[in-house]
Amino acid sequence: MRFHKKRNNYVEIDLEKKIVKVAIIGNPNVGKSVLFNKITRGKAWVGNWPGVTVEKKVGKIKFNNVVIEITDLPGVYSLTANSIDELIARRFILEEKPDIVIQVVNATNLERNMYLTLQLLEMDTKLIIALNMMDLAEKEGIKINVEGLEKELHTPIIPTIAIKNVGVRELIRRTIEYSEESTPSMKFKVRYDPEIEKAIEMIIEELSKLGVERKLGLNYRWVAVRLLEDDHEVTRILKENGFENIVEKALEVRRELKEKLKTDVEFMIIENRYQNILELSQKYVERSIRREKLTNLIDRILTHPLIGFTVFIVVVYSMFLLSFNVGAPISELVSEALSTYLYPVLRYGIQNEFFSSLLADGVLKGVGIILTFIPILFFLFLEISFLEDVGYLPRVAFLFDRYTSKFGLSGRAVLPLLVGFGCNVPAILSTRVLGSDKERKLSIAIIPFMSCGARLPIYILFTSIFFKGIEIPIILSIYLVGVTVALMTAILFSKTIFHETQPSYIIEMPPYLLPSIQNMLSKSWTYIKSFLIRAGSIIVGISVLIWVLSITGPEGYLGIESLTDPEKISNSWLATFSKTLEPLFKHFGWDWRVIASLMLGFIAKEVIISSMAVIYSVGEENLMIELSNYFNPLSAYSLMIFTLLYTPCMATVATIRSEVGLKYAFMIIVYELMIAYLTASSLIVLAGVIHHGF
Amino acid sequence: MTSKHHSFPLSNVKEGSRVRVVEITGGRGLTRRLMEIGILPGTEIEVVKNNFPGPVIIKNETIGSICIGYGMASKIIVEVV
Repeated sequence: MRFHKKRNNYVEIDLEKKIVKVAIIGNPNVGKSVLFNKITRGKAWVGNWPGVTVEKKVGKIKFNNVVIEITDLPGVYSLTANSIDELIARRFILEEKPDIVIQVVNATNLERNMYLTLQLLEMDTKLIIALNMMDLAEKEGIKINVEGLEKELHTPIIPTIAIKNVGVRELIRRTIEYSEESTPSMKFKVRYDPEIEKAIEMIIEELSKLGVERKLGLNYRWVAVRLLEDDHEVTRILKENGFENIVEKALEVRRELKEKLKTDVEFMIIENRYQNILELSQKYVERSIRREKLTNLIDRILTHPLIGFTVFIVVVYSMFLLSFNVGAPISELVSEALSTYLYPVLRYGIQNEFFSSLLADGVLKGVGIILTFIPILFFLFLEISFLEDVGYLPRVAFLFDRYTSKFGLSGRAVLPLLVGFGCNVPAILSTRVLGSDKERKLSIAIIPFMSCGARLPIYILFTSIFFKGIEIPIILSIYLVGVTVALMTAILFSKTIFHETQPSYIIEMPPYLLPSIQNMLSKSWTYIKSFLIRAGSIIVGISVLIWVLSITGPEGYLGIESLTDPEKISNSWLATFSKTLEPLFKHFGWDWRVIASLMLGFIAKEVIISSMAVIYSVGEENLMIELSNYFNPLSAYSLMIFTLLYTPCMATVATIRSEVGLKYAFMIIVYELMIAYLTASSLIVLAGVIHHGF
Repeated sequence: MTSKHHSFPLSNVKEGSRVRVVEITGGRGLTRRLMEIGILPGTEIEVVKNNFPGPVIIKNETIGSICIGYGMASKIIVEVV
């Protein structure tokens, strides 16, 4: 009981010597991330597993004089290594050899969760089961004999309700205690078909003759079973270490067994595991039939073809209303504060003009853009986490999948894509709710075509000059072009890069739950933190680079007046590059000033208008008159289409890079520039044909 | 294969019916994945929702409540119980 003396036992205590390495694993939707957050108190290092876009979270806590280093493994149904997630989880357990593995089990769904339990026990891990969602199980009339199951599995089982912080301390306490005990001598063994058992015995004998366990540190029985299941990873490891013979032998045994059993051994093994599970559940689980009427009713409403869509539209609409009506004014306040208070201090408070402009016009501009994103990101992520935790997202997936699957996307992609209309950055980050790596990359490639809020002012400005009276249909047509290009890109990418026409997936339909505010906050903070850390530095870097290109030119340093003086800026590198590109854009009717403004639009799309004001040397209020001298409806429309489709803003690009890597981000930039150029060009050609036709 | 004319893909089953899995006709990987979450030959399941030609929501005590994409569902052959 001494552990319960003090409430705050997590504080620094320097006596610690011992580090307990813990891995936490479980099926999707068992409350694993909630439990992880409760254990680590939201303090975790977040990154990606090497080489993939699967999120890795590691937390460290001190409990009395022990340090627990806890790694959150991806949510998996098994450790067969079918998917990247499974491979990551399995490699971690085999290679990092954590002292304790905690499996979070959903008590309302014990049988399916136990499939993973049996595999973990077979791998010879020191396992603790956190039997989570006990309150829900009780509500559903499920009674589990924890003691009995604990004894039969020879594995500690701690009942928890992670969301209410019930059982979490006990789990930590037991983890430390168990790590000090020696591994139990008695073990639960999965009983397979007698023929399979015979084959396992035989392979084990061969393995022990060769001393595989000593050399590779792998459990014999596990290796034997895996060989019978035709496991490529185990086969590879054995071959690499010179045990080809045993692999050959196993293959032979498999063939013989298939003859005898009249079925594939690997499928028989899965069936046998489930037979073991059903025996256990008959002994230790009692179910009084109780229908979950409320869940069924809500499900019927949310997945109804008509009502479901209506609810979805209302949900998304209120989401946008909240984020942009509450978030956007805060963003404006932040940017106001920066430009009225901090900007003058940096710009005029420092003697050296070059240095002060670098800080004010380069660094501060970048930092300002990052900061203005945060309020909107915060609200959007809070809402997305809410929808995720409450259990709404799987229902949306069900509703839309029938339509999205034609484009190689599952129904889950709908939400991130819609978020893209508000802002591309959170949209890209929120693709983390999607299942597979492929689906994430595909969604990320098309999100920039969702016309975000920052592009709207440009459409409004140009339509009000050139399309008076028909502004709304023109603006709608631009959004439509964006969606069409996005869907076509999805088809193209899924058929070429990803070689997949139909996404195949399994999504759980969890019961509706009241989410925990702490979990929602910590999730949104995780998103924002990764944006700040991973995208932030790039945004500042690009902002400074553009500053340098504006104040220097082929003749050298132009002076910082170049930022406000159209005469000087026309000698900058930025203008020089734009002039070089002029011939490419001649048929659009654009001169270098448009190109330079679009280049500056890389900072943020809303910058295009203010850049035009500087470059055309008029105030923003007179820009309309000035522009009407330079553009006609056609060149204006092509500019709007180009603005819609071309390279997304640097914050988006930086986010893409941090989420899926530099190579992919670069490919998207090139692809999107190309699409923008081709679409706008064909528009001009088409207009020319129609014009001359009449 | 004797019950072939009584059995059909899960994707074509009416909402609210109870069915039994007869076989999974997908490749090894798919069969494995489905079996590992508890969709084994002989398993009885309830079809809660079917958004034909779209995903299907199925349910039983072992599996819980899950949504399976159309492509997968069309490879699970079932018979009405």
